[in-house]
Amino acid sequence: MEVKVLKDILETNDNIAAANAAKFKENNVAVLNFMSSPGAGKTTLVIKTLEAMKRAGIPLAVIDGDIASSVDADRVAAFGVPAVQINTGGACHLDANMIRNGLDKVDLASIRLLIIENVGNLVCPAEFKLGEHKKVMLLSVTEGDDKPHKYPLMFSEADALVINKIDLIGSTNFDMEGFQKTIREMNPDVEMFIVSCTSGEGLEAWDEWVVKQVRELTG
Amino acid sequence: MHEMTITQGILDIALDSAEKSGASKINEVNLTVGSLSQVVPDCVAFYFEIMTKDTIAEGAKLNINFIEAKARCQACGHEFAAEDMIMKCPACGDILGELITGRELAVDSIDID
Ligand SMILES: Nc1nc2c(ncn2[C@@H]2O[C@H](COP(=O)(O)OP(=O)(O)O)[C@@H](O)[C@H]2O)c(=O)[nH]1
Ligand SMILES: [Mg+2]
Ligand SMILES: [Zn+2]
Repeated sequence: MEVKVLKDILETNDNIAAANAAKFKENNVAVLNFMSSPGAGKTTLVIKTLEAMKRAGIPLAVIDGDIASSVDADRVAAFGVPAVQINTGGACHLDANMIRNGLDKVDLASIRLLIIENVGNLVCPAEFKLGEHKKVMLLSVTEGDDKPHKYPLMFSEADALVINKIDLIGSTNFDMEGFQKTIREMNPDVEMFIVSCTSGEGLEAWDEWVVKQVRELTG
Repeated sequence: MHEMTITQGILDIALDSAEKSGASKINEVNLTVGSLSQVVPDCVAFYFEIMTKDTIAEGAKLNINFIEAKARCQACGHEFAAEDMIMKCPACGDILGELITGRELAVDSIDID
């Protein structure tokens, strides 16, 4: 006998993500989810951003997702910012339940911005909502300009796209104009930033965008 | 790549509805999977076989109904394939496509005894 079910497989995750989002709202915290392949510069951008937030007087905390190790959280904690490491135990992405559990260790009442560094992966994190306000995707120019064709979902879902390692573009064949045109056709509303997290080039516009999100989302 | 999580989700939903229907055995599980959901069917089938061991779904057949990604232009109403997520309308050139199918990932129905 056939029985209709009609149930979304990610529904459990989506429900927990909605509960996380309610918690963020209640505590007046803006939440950004950083996603990229391993090594694109997420942790480096987190550190640059927390320096900028210090200057802007915005208290923040960071949740670092990784398959194993606490290297990233240690790098962030060295700057005197609360950092929680979540080890996914082999899973290729953070899910809403991991964030819910991680939030036990975050004093939401004392911050206005929470940055979540997702597991380095261009595929899976795009499917799992965490309850964040904005999805921030990073791509470093050394990864090549063909990535939007290989990972369309992540590029089309991003609210902001940080094109990193611009200091290295001379040693690549990255076609910036063609790349940006493709991105516009996939995701016309995405905010793009061309930066170097090591030289600091282009980061003012990024910092301003983050401050604006915090102001708009936390009133 | 996250097929294990997905497969666990499928199994949880199937076992839950089977229990609600008082079933003693699940024969088939029917899924709808959008082409943008990035799920590898063979991988899901592999995990499904392992995870269903010692449950009433052991040996159940997993059927997947694939749905191609499609977008509809909000300017002219034209519908077009959107596998690449390019939202530029091939009919009028506006970048106003809105995805209408391709993100599905659901358990549609189960066949039980
Ligand atoms: N040349 C250059 N290297 C960078 C830049 N941003 C990050 N890196 C380097 O890239 C490597 C990986 O960075 P990390 O922030 O750990 O990447 P994650 O894996 O995405 O967190 C490190 O060695 C960084 O120093 C950049 O803008 N230019
Ligand atoms: Mg990192
Ligand atoms: Zn059109």
